[in-house]
Parts: sequence; structure tokens; C-alpha cells
Amino acid sequence: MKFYQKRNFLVIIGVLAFMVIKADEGKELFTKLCSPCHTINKGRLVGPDLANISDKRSPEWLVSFIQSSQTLIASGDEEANAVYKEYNNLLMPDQPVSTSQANAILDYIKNDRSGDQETISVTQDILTNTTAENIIEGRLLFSGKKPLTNGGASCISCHNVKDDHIFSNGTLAKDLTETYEIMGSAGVSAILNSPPFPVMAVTYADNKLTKEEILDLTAYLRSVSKERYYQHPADFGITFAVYGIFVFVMLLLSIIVLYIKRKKKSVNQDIFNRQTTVTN
Amino acid sequence: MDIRSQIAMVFHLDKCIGCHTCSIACKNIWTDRKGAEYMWWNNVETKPGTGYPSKWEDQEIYKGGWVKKGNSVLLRGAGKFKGIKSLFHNSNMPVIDDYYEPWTYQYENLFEAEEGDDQPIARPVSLITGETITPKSGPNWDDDLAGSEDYAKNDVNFKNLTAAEQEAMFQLERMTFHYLPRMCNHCLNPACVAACPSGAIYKRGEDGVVLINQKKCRAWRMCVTACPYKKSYYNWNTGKSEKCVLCYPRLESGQAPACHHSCVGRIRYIGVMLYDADKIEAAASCEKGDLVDNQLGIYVDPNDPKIIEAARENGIHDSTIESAQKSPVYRFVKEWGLALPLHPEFRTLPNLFYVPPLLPTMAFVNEEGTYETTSENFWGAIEKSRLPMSYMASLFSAGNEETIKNVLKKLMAVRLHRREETVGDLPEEELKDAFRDTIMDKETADEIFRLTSLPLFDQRFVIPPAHREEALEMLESTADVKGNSGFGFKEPAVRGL
Repeated sequence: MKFYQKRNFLVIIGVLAFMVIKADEGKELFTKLCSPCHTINKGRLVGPDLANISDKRSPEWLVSFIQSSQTLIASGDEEANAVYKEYNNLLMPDQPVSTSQANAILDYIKNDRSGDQETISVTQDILTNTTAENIIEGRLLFSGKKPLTNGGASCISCHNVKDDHIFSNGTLAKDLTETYEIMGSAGVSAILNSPPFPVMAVTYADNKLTKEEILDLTAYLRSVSKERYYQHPADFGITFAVYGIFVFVMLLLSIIVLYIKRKKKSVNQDIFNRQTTVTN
Repeated sequence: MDIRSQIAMVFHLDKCIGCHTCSIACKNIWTDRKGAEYMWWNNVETKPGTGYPSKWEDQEIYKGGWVKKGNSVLLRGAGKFKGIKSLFHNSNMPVIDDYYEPWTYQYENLFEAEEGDDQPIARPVSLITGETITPKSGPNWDDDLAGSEDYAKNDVNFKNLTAAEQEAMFQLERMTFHYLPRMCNHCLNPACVAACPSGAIYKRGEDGVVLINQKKCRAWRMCVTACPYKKSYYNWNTGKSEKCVLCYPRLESGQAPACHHSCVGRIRYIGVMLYDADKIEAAASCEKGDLVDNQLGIYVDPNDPKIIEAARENGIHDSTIESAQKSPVYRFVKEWGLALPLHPEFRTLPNLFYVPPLLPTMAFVNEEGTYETTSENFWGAIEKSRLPMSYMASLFSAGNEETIKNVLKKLMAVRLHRREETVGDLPEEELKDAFRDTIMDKETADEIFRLTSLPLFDQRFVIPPAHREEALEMLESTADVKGNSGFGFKEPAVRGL
């Protein structure tokens, strides 16, 4: 084999290998970042079905939308704003991907044909066979009364819901009362399976939820969403503050009571004071 | 009857010259260490004065000793509820300024200072912080009525004196003082032992010496609060409390404690007393005025055959009983009734007795307002004492003035008798009155005189054999350890060259 032949061969192998790796990278990123909300030819989830998206929008627009949809919307882009309105003003989180990674995702979407055969999968709601027990189980998981199997943080650490059974909610992240209505069971379960939000992704990266847990939590969030009009969370108003101040004052008083009879200074202090005033 | 033996002491205050040799002897042996510099297991105070630590007698401040409760006594500063309240701050303890901040001088500066215009000086440095300090007070800052405006006038024993009496004490012509050497009393009802949450303090069975186990002490410092005499001290370096050990290694080898041995005025007597332990609770919890009498009632006659039998039953060695029979303390305290405990109202039943000072009664201000040191009528001068009787009673008899008057009268009678013997210028009636009032005869007066003024070393210090072997046999079987201690070889001995 001549030298240039050999070289061409290696180049071809290299290009092929690169394409395979790139395609794999696209698939991996799609599953991790996009699939919670999007499908390819399997119907609409939280966000739009992305089949043939490359035909509708330019690649530059798509890449900038993936990287930061919020910047694009804020910049006044008409198409972006239209999509934003269509999907109930639900913001797509900014994705931490480089331009080449975004392109890899788009390549994957363009070439993926897996959705053609099984279009039914989306239409079947995963909550079809759930019962009241799933909801109770979900509440226990949500409120942290039952720990998650893989040791992840309970939802209540950061989120709150409007539910009379749950007292003292987390306030670090979104109120999840209406989430089910916005995202549906597919969206909720997809997010639980593979969280796209940065903090949540890190939290559950090594502590994945099990399938049963996802089912229970989704069922619970649906019931929360449905029952929210009948809940009457207690409004303590300033009672907490008043009680807190009362207890604090009582503590201070008890310390004073303990301290008041204490020997606080040397019995010689008066003598020292008198002597120093005389000498000075 | 539960007869036990106790090492007890008598200090004859008329003989004390306030030289502090006892304190120094003790310091050199026991407390010349880091963390113990401020401690004076033995100290000498001037009365009136605030003492060391300042105002130690005022239990409103320090909450030491016992208080009567029904037919028993309770600790004033400790207990279950009080203990919880003061779990994180031991509220009534003396602070270092109540004792004094110990210091030394930078003597090396006198030799090593760089040459300059000024004389090099040795500045005082704190033995606690190492910083240079200006000493504010010392353990005997009020010595010989120094700074009496600050110290003598704040004497705690003035509480029961009227303003007029107090003022009279500070008139130049009437002003007087006496010394009060103090050390651990090795009490029969020790408050420090009762207060220790760790059980580190104990009263030794064989001779009643109160000791702190340095391994068990956990630095609660309840003993510092509880001891009304403030004779338990906290060592800030070792984190353990320490107190007078009555030089027990010296006692066990038949020597008097260092403070006793070194006493220049020979005021100190030590000896064994036998006492009935069953009577302790009743004596400690009786009415205030009866405290002295009831405490003295605890000590029993070592010559009584019944007592000797009971003592033997309790395992007291014959040599200890013999020693108790010769004890100078028994003679002063029981036979002659001359010595009284210090502040019996603390109810700890102290085993250190004081023969109260008589000297100040010798002088008074006559009708012309001049200072009179001679008198036509010696007998009866006690009433005119420069130190009010109520002051002496506050120190030695829990406020009972009759008790202290009786003792002073006896002391006076001995003096009158000796003056009659040596000078012979007293009216016969006066001497008769004295002997009749004190129920004393010439022989007793001579004996008191001899033991007071001419005692031999062995008459002052009657120390029984310690019998450590018996104490040891109570703790372990000596046969088990036979051959396991004593001399031996770390390497096998090799015979020959």
C-alpha cells in the first residue's frame, strides 16, 4: 500500500470515528438535558416535539436558544417570544453546553428515527394505574418522613406545596403546587428522572430516584395540584414572632435571676478603687 | 458509742508573735509550685482584719459551711438544686483578687540591665500571667493593722457590734490587735468532703486527716465554696484542688507538721483526741449558743476504762489510746476548758482549738482619760477589755459571751497565781476570788502554767505511731504482694569480678 493510500484510509477511519463519537455525544446530551421536556417525533411533552426542528429554524438561532433562551427572549427576538407565550410563559433553563455540543445535539435530533415506530408511548399516561396509596407514599417521600432509597435530599428541603398534611415547607426553590398542571405527568416524571436544573441536577447526580419513587411523587404532585383549592394552610401571622420574643425574654429573665445573686467582683474591689483614687 | 481517733491541735494565741514562720515553713514544703503560689495552707492573720482570702468569715458572700435544718444540717452553698443552678458557673467562689495575685521580682535585671543613666530595678512580675504588675494586695496585706481604714474596719466580726463599740475600738488609746494563725481544721463534720461531687475528698480513718485524692479530683471546686474557712484551694496549673495535708508524711514518721515544728513562739500543740462519732450530727445541728459545749462533749475521756474498751473494739491501737491519754490538746480543751474552736457557728466541728488572747485586757483608759497599764484591781479587768467581749465571742464561741469570759477568767487566774508565786504583791482576797470564780486550784494553775510556758518538745507534740501497716491491711492482702516490692535487680546480679 502506498503511503498516500494509507493516509487516506486513516483519515476516513478518523472521520467516521469522529462522527460516531459525535453522534454518541449528541445522544447522551439529549437524554440528559433535553429529554425531560422534549421528544423527537413522539409528541409534545413540556416543551415542543423537536422532530425536524432544523428545518423550521436556523442552526444559529437554535444554538443560541439552547445556550440561553432567556437572553434570546430578553433581546426581543420575535420567534423566541412567540414560543415562550405558546408554552404558558414557561422558561427553558439555560443549558451548560458549548456551541459544538449544541450542534451535536441538533445532529442527533436530525438523524434520530427511533420515534417513528413507537409514537404511542407518549400518549399513555404513566399515572393510569396509580392509587391513593401511591399518593400517601409520595407525600411521605416528599416531606422526608421516608428517606429516598438512594439517599437524595427530600423535596421539602427546597420546595413547598400547598397541602394541609405538610407543615413547614422549604423556601429555596419553586412552589410545586401547580407544577403538574403546567408539565403533566410525563414532564414531571421526566424531570424527576433526569433533572435539567443545575442545582437539582447536582443534588441528584449520584442519588438517582428509583422508578417507584418517581411514580409516587408524580402521583402526589397531581393530587396536590387537584386538591389545592380545598387546602387551608394555617396562617400563623406574627404569632411565631410574638412567641419567639416571649420565650427569648423569659430566657433572659431566667439568666438574670440566676446571675443576680452571683458574686460578681472581688470583695477587695472597693478597697482597690479607693486606693487608686488616693494615689492618682 | 462509736469511738474514733482524731489528730487535733491547740494554738495558744497569747504566745503568737505573728512572725509567719509557720506559713513560710509550709510554703517551702508544699506550695512553692506553679499554680500553688497564691495558696497559703497555713497563714497568719491580724485581728481585727479582713483576713485571707478577704472577708472569708462572711458566709453571705462565700456560702461556706453548714446551716441548721431541723435536727440535721445542710450545706449552705451546695446541694442537688443549688448544684444544678451553679453547674456551669461556680458562683460564690473567691476570685484571685480575693486572695491576691502572686508575684516575684525580675532580679536578673539587676545584673543584666544595659548600662544607662538610671539604677536598674527589679520590677514585680505576676506569677500567673508573667506580665509586670503593680501588686495590689498580699496574703497579709493587713498585717499589724496596716491599712486599718480598709482592712480592720471591714472585719466581718464587727457585724454584731454597735457603732459606738466599733468606734471605741479604733480610738488610738484602745486600739489593739492579736494574731490568728489559721490552717485546715481537719473538721469532724467537714463541709468540703460533703460538697465534693467526685468523692475525691475523704477523712482518713486512722487519724482523721482530711485529704483530696488528686487522681479523683475533677476540678468542680465545690470544696472551695463549701469550706467556710476557705482552706481548700484550686490549683490552676494542675486543674485539681489542694489543701493542707497536715504534713501526713511527717506525722507517719512521728514528726510534727512543719508549721508546728517551726513555730517560734511555740504556740502550737498537737495530739490525739478520742471522740464519739455517733454524737456528731446532734452536735453540729444544735442551737447556736450551745455549739461549743456540744462539740466539746463529743470528745471523750481516754482514761475511762469503758472508753478504752470501746476504742479497742473499733480497732484503735493501744499506742494511739496511750497517746490520747498524754495529749496536750485533751488537757487544754477538755480538762482545763481553755481552748475554743474558731467560728463554731459554721458547724463543721473544727479540730483546731485556740486559747484566746488575754493580753489586751491588761490596759485600759482611766478616769482622767490617760492610758493605764497597771491596775489596783486585776480581777474584773476582763470586762474592761479593749477588745469587746462580743467581738471575741463572734470569733470563738458563736456569740456566747459567757463561754469566752470563763476562758479568759481562767487564764487570768493562772496569771494572778503566778504573780503571787513570783512577786507576791497581790491582795489575798483577789486571788481567792479568782480561784473561786473559776473553780480552780493551785495545782491546776501550775500545770496550766507549765504546759503553757515551759513545755518540752515531746509535751507539745504527742504523735501516735501511724500504724500504716494496719491501714494498708484494710486495703489489700499483704501476703499477695509479698516479694513483689522492695529491693531487687533490674539486671541479674553477676557474681565475681
